[in-house]
Amino acid sequence: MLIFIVLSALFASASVPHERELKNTVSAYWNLMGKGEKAAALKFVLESSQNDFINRDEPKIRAWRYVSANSINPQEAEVTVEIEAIFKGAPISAGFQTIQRRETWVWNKKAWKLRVEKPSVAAIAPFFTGEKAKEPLPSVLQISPSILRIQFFSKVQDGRIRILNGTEAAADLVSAKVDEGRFDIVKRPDHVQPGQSGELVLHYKGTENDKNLESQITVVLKQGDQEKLFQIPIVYNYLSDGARGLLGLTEEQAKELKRGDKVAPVFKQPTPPGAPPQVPGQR
Amino acid sequence: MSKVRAIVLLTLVIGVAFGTAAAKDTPFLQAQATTDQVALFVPFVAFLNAPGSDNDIDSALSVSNILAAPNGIFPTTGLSRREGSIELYFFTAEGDILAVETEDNSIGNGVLDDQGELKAGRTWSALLSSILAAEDALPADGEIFSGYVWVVANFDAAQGTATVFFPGFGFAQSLDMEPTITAGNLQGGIPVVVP
Repeated sequence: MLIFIVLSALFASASVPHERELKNTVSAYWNLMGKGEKAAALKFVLESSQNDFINRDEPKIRAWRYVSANSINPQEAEVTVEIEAIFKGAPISAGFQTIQRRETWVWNKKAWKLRVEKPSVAAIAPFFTGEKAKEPLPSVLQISPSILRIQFFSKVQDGRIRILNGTEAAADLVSAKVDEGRFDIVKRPDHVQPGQSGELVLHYKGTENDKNLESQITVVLKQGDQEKLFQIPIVYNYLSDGARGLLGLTEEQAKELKRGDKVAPVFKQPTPPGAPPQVPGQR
Repeated sequence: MSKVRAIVLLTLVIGVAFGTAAAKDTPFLQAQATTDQVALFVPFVAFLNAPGSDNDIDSALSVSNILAAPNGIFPTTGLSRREGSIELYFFTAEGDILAVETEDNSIGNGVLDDQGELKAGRTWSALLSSILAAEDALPADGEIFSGYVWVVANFDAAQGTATVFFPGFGFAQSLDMEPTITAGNLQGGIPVVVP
């Protein structure tokens, strides 16, 4: 057990080069930040990050503690510290909060320097795009969605079908057939590799005005010697019941709605029996 | 005043104005029980891709199926649809409409089922940029997409938020989808009545 602990400690210490310098630099930096001496702490920040560091909001720090450092590569380390602080925007009644903060330090000109990450849309995107939440594809060859709807209100009038290949063999697209009088296939993959998906895009080029019209796309995929046939219903000029409810359109009125017509939500407040009619704007 | 500053101010004004209005009578269709479709109003969303500057703007929509609630929260009658797709109706600043309906699990945080339906207790979130990209509706670089949104949830009760991010300003603003649940108006969204 002792040998394991010693080896682990040796391995850990070897994992971050110049670790002693790193720890000393991080300590000096956070001691200044804890005292609110941000200007003095600027010398520990990479030159390319200094404007972003100056513009960054800082919490009011009461205490801090070094937690760990992990090597990202020979030139970069991720350092975790625990800080006890009051944060802007948090309810003052919440008082001091303890959080862990991870930052990247870069070995630059024989010294460790802090890299300040600039706030960006890309930085928040993983929270909303599900890159972590999405599971691997199920181990079948399938097509999604099961019904393709092309919205009447879409300007481009395109529909997208995804070929999802969760199997261990590549799939070839043999054919994709649509009503050529109404649809063009504007994008199609020739192959879909294992574990990947491919996109097939069709464009409605018609001028029909009726809503919720139906058609179909027939797709043939081949894996090895086997061919698989998929028939996907298409609903084009799609106008859902929800849209009719929102816009206050009866089926007849919806039928008359033309592409490019301006529409707006319509709300109705039912008048209780016996109550006088309501006049908009009057209370 | 730059477009970006104008949008920041507009966001603040709309947030304050709508919050005040919502505290009074809501001029929406009211019903005693929920229906199988409910609507939620999103006061403002915006998207701007501004290459070469730090003025990018994006918005995140988050819609929850709140039907996984403790007994006593929702009526025991009148509920008819426990899960369903989500429809988004964007009304742009220019008055155009863009309609989107989830039909599989390709947009957002991956919590929908293969039919694009949101189960009770789950929260679907997506960036406006990813929704617009899926609809081939991204504006050109430097052009702003902004407006309000109606969310129609195809289940009995929904709630949500919209957060507008201005990373260049180190600023974000979260707006509740309206109406929010209140003690006197216990419903998850405005029941949609289809004519």
